Amino acid sequence: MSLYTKGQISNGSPRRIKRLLIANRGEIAVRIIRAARDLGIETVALYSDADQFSLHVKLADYSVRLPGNTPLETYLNVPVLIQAVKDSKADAVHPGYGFLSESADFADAVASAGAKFVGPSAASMRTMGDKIEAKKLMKIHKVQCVPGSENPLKDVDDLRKHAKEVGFPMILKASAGGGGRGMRVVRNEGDLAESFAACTREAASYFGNPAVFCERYIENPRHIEVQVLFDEHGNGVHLFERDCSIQRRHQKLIEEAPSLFLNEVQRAEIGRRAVIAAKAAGYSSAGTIEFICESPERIYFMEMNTRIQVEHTVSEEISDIDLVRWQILVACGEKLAFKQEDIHLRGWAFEARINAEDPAKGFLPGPGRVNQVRFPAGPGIRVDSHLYSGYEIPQFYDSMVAKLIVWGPTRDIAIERMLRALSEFEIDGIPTTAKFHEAVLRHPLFRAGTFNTGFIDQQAEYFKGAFSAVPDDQQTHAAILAAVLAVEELRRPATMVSEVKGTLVSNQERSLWRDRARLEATNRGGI
Amino acid sequence: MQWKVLIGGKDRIVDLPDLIPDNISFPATIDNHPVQLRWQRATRALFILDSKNLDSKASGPWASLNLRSKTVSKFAGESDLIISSEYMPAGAKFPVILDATVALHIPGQEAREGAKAKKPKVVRSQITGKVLKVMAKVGDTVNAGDALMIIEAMKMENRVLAMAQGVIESVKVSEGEMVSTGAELVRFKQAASDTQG
Repeated sequence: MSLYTKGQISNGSPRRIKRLLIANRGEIAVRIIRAARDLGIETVALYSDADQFSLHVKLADYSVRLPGNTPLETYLNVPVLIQAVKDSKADAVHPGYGFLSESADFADAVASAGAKFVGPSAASMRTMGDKIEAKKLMKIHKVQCVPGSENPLKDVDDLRKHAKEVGFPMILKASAGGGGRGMRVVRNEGDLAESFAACTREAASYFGNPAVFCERYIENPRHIEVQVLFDEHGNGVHLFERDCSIQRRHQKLIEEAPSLFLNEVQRAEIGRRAVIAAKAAGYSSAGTIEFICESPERIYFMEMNTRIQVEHTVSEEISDIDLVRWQILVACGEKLAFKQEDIHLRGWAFEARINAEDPAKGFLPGPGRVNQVRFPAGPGIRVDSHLYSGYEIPQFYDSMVAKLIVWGPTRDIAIERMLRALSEFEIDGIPTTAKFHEAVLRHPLFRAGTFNTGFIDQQAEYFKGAFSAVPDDQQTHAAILAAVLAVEELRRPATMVSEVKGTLVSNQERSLWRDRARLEATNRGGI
Repeated sequence: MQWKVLIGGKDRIVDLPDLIPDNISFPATIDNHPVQLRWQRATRALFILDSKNLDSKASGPWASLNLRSKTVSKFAGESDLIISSEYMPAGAKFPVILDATVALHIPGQEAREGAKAKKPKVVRSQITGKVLKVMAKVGDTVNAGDALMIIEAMKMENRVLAMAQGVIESVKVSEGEMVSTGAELVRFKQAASDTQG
C-alpha cells in the first residue's frame, strides 16, 4: 500500500475530529479542506469581507464571516476567531501558515474553547519560538548551531567580548524575532555600539522582548530545511530536505526537494539531526527544521518552524506522504503508520510560487480581477490554488495566488516539466511571476545546481534581459495582437467589483459604444 | 475602426472590424498591408494568415499567437489603453513579452493636438492600495527620482517616484486613504511626467 493512502481515523481513535475550522484563507485553506474531506471531516471556512467570494468559502461545508478586511481585524483577531469556533461547534482548528499559525497564545485560546489545535503543543511552540532557548536546547542535544553568544547580550561590552570569538561580519538577532525583521549585520567593530542599540530598540518595539544575541554572519548561504512529522506518542520521521535558496528579499520563489547540495550520507545526517532537534522540543505534528549551509560539511541549525509550510508540497511529492492529512490524523491521536525505513526518496520535485506581481516592473503587485485562468495539467503536475475565472484578488493579503508543483523521476525531467507547466499556465487580467520562474529555470547555473540565496541579486543583469520587448522582426504580428486585445477589452461586458474606501462599489456596465463615443470625444478634445 | 499601436517606439496603424467575430476568419490591415485574422476567444489564440510574410518568424501561411497573460490599464480621462501581455508564437519555446499602447486612430488628430496648450502633468496611481505616507508637499520642487509617496498593496510598500523635475501644484490624497489604479495622486505646475518605482 502506498504511504500516501496509509493512515485512517481508527474506530477507537482517542480524539475523533468531526468538524474542522480553518483559521486561514487562500490556497492553504483550500488545501486543508481537501485533506479534511478525504478523511470525511466537515469543514468550517472563515472569510473577511473582501474574501466573501473566495474559493475556500465555496468548498467548505460551513462558513463564518469575519467583519472587516485588514488582517488585524479578521484573520489575526483572536477573540473573533474563538467566537467563530464556539458558534460553529468546531472540535478542531487548523491554523495553516502565516497569521496565527505560530502563536502559542492562540493555541492556548483554542484549547480553552474546548477545541483541538492541529499542530504542536503550545509548550514546544514557545520553546522553539524563542531563538536563544532553541539554540540552548540544540547545544544540549549536540545539534550544531552557528557560532555565537549563548545568552542574551547584557551590554555592548558583553557583545565586544563575543565579537572576538565570533569575528566579522556578524549578525545581531532579536531572540523573539522572525520573518526577516529585528536583524542587523555588523561588518566592523566601529558599528557595534550603534547596531546593538538599534537592534535592542527594534526587538523591544516589534516583539515586546529586548533580548538580542549575536552570531557569525554567513554571506549567501544555501538555505536547506528538513521536513519532520511526529505523532503524540513520541514517534517521529523526517521526509528529507528541501532546498529553498532561490529567494528574493527573503521571500522564497522556487523550492525543490531533495537538494543537489547534499550526497546520500549528508542527507541521512541532516535528517538525523532534524529528528533529534524536533524530539528535543517534544514536538508533534508537521514541522520544519531550517539549516544554514556554508558548505556540505558546515551545516548549522538555524530555527524551527512549528507549522505546515508553503513548500510542504515538494516533500509530499518525493515521499508519497500527505502531510496535511497526517497533521489531522496526529491531532486525532493516531500513531504514525510508518517508520523511517519505510520512507523512500523518489524522484525530484519543484514548486514555483505564482504571485500577482509584475517581475518586469520591479515586482509591482497587481491585485485585480482574473478574467480567465487555465491551469496546466498532465503527468507529474499539481496545482494548489484558490484562483478561478472571475475571481477578484483582494489587495489586503499576500500576493501568492497559486503554487505549481511538478514531480519527475530526475531533476532534469522535473525542470522540463515545470517549463511545460509554466507554458500551459494562462491567466488574463493580472500580472504574475510565471515568466520570472521560466527565466530562473532556464539559467545554466540553476540547472547545474550551483546557486545560493544571493542568486537573484547576482544575476540581476540576466533577469533584466529576460523581459525584453518583442524582437524587431516580430512586431507586425505583435501590433495586430495588441489591437485585437484592445477591441476585446472594450467589448468585455463584465461588471468589475472593486473595494474602495471600505464599501463594495460595482463599476458601471461597460459598453463598447459608450466607451467608443467617449474615446472619440476625448480625442477631439470634447471632454 | 483604425487603431494606432505604439510598439517598439514605432506607431503602426491597424484596421479592424468594430466587433471581432469568434473563430471566424475576417480581413484586416496593418500599415495598409492586408492580412486575414481568426480570433479564438475561448482559448485566447489569434491566427494570422499573412501571405506577404510580414513577420520573419511566421512559419507557414497561418501563424498562431497563443496568449499566456494579459493586463490592460486605462486611466480615467485618458484614451490610451496600455496593454502588457505574454504570448507564445507558434513553434516558439519561450513567450514573447508585449508592451504596447493602443489608441483609436483618427487621421489629422495629431495636428490638432499639437496646436493645443500642454495640459498640466498628473501623477496617477499604478496600483490599488492604501496611501501609507505622503512626502510631496504643495509648492515643493522635486527632482526626477524623488519619492512622492508610499502606497501599500498586498503587504508590500511601493514608492511613487517623480520622473522629471517640477513644482507640485496640488496633492490629491492623504495618508491612510485607499486609492484605486488610475487615481490622481499629485498634479504638477510644469511638465513633469509620472511613474512608479
